[in-house]
Amino acid sequence: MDVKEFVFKIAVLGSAGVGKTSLINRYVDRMFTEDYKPTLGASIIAKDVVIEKTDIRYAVRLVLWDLAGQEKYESVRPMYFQGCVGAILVYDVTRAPSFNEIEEKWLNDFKQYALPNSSYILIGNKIDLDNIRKVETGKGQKLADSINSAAFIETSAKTGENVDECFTKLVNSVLRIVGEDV
Amino acid sequence: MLSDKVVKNSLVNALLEAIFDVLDADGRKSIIQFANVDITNEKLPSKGTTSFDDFIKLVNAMNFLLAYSKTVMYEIGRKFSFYFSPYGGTLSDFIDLIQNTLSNEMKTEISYPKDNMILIKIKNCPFCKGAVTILPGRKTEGFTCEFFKGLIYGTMAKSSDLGDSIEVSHICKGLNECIFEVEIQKKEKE
Repeated sequence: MDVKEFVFKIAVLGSAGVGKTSLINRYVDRMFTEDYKPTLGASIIAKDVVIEKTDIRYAVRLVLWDLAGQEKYESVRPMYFQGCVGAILVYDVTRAPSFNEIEEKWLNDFKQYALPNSSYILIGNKIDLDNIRKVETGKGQKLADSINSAAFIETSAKTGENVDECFTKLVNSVLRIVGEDV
Repeated sequence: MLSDKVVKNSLVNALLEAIFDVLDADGRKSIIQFANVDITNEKLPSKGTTSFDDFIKLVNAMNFLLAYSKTVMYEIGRKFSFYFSPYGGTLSDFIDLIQNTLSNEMKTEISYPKDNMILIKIKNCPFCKGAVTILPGRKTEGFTCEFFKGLIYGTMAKSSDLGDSIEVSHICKGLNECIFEVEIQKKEKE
């Protein structure tokens, strides 16, 4: 079986407190903590992913950049985007402003400074808090369609629901962008 | 096999301070954790030395996690030049100081082919180590050398009033040798 190796730099973006770090912790370490500690600067984590097809194996090293959502990092954030081939745009389904900022702020920044032809997916996080939901699924899907997001998924970093799927979809999408038939 | 060589902590701390300036606390924590060395954000090395192997682990971690982040690497190099030698000095003094702090692991050669040009050849650059092996099947793409470009720029800008008139370019030949070309543009008389 052929093996192809890739290294993808991925940014995880969204307003402060939407659960970016929790999504990464759930995906990489299979853990979740209720304590909220804002990310200072950029937290960078590597994760190896293997995707097997019938006659080829893709060994992908993801370098995940968990970027601080606070305003004070706005001047340095463009520097952090350099070389990114993909992004996970995260909003909190219980906070409408975090949803509004996806298009107004995060996607614009990403498109401006990341590599051209990069891929991104839209994530509505915290679906375990459905009783206080402010952003309906249909609204998220509509935004995903309008911004040409490679996928739209609602997740819960707390329960782990759909978390792996969101990273897998992004990796597949980036692989397609670099010319792989996945 | 572990070597018995050591690196002065002044250099290790300068690198960690530079990383903090550019990536803040969580960025530095990420690099330290990936390196798996006995250092934390709260417990930086004190006076004395760190093993050369631990230093290389930190450099490897930086090279890996900051792959494709050229500007970040450049800025870390620029800040490093300040923290390592805050009072400035000539480029050749600065490189001698690094070489000496690194147990003479790195070999450098500085020449002046033209009035406004300096060539710096670096062999066995410890900041390149890991860049080739940690990204299997990939060329270094020169991103590691951005650190040294920033360092050269920072040192020269600090030790003179040249500032914006310095242009640093490089040819990366992987672990064996890198050549940095420093061109000093002539400033127009005001």
